Amino acid sequence: MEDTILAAVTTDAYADKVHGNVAVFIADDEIEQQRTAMLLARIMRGMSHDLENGVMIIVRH
Amino acid sequence: MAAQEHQYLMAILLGFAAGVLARFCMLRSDYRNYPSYPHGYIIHLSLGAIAAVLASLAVPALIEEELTAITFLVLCAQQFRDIRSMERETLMKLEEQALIPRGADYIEGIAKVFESRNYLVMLVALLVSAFAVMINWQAGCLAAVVLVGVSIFCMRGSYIGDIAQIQAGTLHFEKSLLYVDDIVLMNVGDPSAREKILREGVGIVLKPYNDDGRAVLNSPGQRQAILHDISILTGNQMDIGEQEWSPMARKNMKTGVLGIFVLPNYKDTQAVISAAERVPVLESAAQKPLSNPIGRKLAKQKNSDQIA
Repeated sequence: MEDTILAAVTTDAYADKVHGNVAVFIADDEIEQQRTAMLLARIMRGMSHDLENGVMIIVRH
Repeated sequence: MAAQEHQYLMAILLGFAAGVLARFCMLRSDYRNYPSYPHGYIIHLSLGAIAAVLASLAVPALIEEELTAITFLVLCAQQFRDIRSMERETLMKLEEQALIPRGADYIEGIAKVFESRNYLVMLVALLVSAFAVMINWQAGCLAAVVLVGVSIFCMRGSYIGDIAQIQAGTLHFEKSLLYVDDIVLMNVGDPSAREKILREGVGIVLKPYNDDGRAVLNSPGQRQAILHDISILTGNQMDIGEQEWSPMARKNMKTGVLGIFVLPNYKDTQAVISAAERVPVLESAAQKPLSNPIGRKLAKQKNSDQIA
């Protein structure tokens, strides 16, 4: 499958921005969010994208 | 009678030699790394030799009214159509594992070139043997030299450097979006990846000289070929599953300028520009809107709008 959202990573403050059928990871702060997104991207061979609203998504292209 | 046979033999040998020589000269293995393997050479030289010998038989057979012999020429042309599918299959299989694929357009172009080289070999062998039979073997030799030169010239196409001006571009981020000059390339979420891209990445812009060039750069297949060739020549740091480093080409919708980002092994913008300049213009991408009145009218209109 191409261009699939594999996961979303956000923080407590923005947790209500993500809904639906996707794995959501809630981080304590922005630094943890970025680190988690980077690790998920590496593990799942995807790429992390920043939606610039406090949510990062991992997409496999 | 013996003299006649001797002349035929000479003509066939000359045609064969010229054909094989033409195939050998066209069998260049360059940075595209294909066909760089000894087996690839043997396959193409043998097929070239078969083409040459069959074509050089045609004229003596025609003179002797051996019409069945000539039908073999048709049969052999049919066989050479398989070369294209053979090349396509091999390259498509390699493509599955490639980090930066060539793209279907590039593969189709390469496959077509391999097929057409065999037809050129046949043409060279046929004409050389005709000269040797009709005039003499010296004329055959002269024709061989000229025709081998012509066939090499025929295989030359145009390059990206001929259709567009290539300059260094500035890579920068606006929040998470990567730009080269004013062209958006991609969204990069990881801040450390952004830093690395700015530190080690190279951005270039390809400005087409006219609407024909713009049409070429518009083709996704051509863009993939450019990215592939740049990556072959300057290297690429990308690894399996690391999509942040994958090279990227996007156009400016208004101007048709193509912006490219690559992450070479060693940051040398000039090397990337030179690599992009020598990418061949693919047959499938070559379009000529300016050869049509509609295209010319639009180009004229655009120019007058710009002046106004």
